[in-house]
Amino acid sequence: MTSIAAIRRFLGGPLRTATLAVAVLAVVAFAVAGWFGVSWYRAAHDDSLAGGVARDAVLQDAQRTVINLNTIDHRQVQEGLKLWEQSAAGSLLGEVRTNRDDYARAIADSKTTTTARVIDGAVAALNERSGTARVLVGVDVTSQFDGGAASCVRRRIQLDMRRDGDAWKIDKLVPVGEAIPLAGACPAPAPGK
Amino acid sequence: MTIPTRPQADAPTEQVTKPPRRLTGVATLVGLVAALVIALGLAAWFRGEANQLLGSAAASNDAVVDADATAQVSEQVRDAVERIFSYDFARLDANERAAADVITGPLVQEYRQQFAQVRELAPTQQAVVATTVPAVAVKMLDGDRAVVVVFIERQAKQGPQPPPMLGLTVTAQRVDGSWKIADVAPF
Repeated sequence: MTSIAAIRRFLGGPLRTATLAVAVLAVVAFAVAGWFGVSWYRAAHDDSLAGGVARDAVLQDAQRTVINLNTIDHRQVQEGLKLWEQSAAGSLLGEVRTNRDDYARAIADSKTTTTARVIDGAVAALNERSGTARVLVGVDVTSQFDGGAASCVRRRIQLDMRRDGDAWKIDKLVPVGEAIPLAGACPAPAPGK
Repeated sequence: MTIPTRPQADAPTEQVTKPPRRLTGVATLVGLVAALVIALGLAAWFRGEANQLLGSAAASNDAVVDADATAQVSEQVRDAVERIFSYDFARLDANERAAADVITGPLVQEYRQQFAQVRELAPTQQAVVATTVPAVAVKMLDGDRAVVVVFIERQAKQGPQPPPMLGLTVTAQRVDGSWKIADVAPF
């Protein structure tokens, strides 16, 4: 009789134990979820984190647009100029639009194609409120005249960037100092860069 | 007689109360397990989202974002680069001492080797090279380490022109509160 009672207690016991254990685990799990929820919320509303993301976006757009503006192909003049317009904002965009016909003629007459590569670059200043930024880049430009041998020029450029919608575009492109010619084609990018 | 009657008396009450109690017990357990699974799922999701934001390269880089620290790095690296890449054949000891204050790590050895050449050539050429930094931008700033893009202008005030150099990618290290240059890669 006592053994039957013991069995019943035993049968009731594990269920209760399991229920208790699961309840405790659930409470702990909710607490952990709450903790991570708060850290997600904080991260999402962290100004310096948002600033870092914006800085990296500026640099990425600056590199892309400066490559566009250093790329010409005398066989595809209109496509190239369209890319220029898409890469420019503010005063540079005005310049490209005003001189578009002159540029088109000059590029076609030059019989030149160029390709560009950013060697290195960094954001010098960023004002998110006004949507302006300043970026320094070193750029290698490979030119090929009329299908001949390639030549290389290395230049450094200060870019004043302007936010246009959700992209950053070049408002002003200022060469810093003289460009230097390199012998032959531009060097290939160093591995890991 | 008493022995067989007790289980008989117990049995009916147990049969009435036990099934519902066990049923609700099981239901509770199932509900709690479901809650546990939901909580674990939420925890994993939130953790993933938080880590994605906090673990990104952007998050560990204070360049530009921390304006004061960025300005300090910029200023000290600019000064250090001007010291390292400038020399005057008449003041080589002073030049080397000034540079020694602003270099660290692998650059110490490299600078010594480079400056040995300067000591050899500069006096006969009467060379005076002035280096200025027209622009500088901090690319990466993480604690005591920084990577800085530096535009440089080297000019011989006297003697032969130094080979053209447009800029440097500088790796800087903060030692005892001041930024020193650990590595330079010219471009």
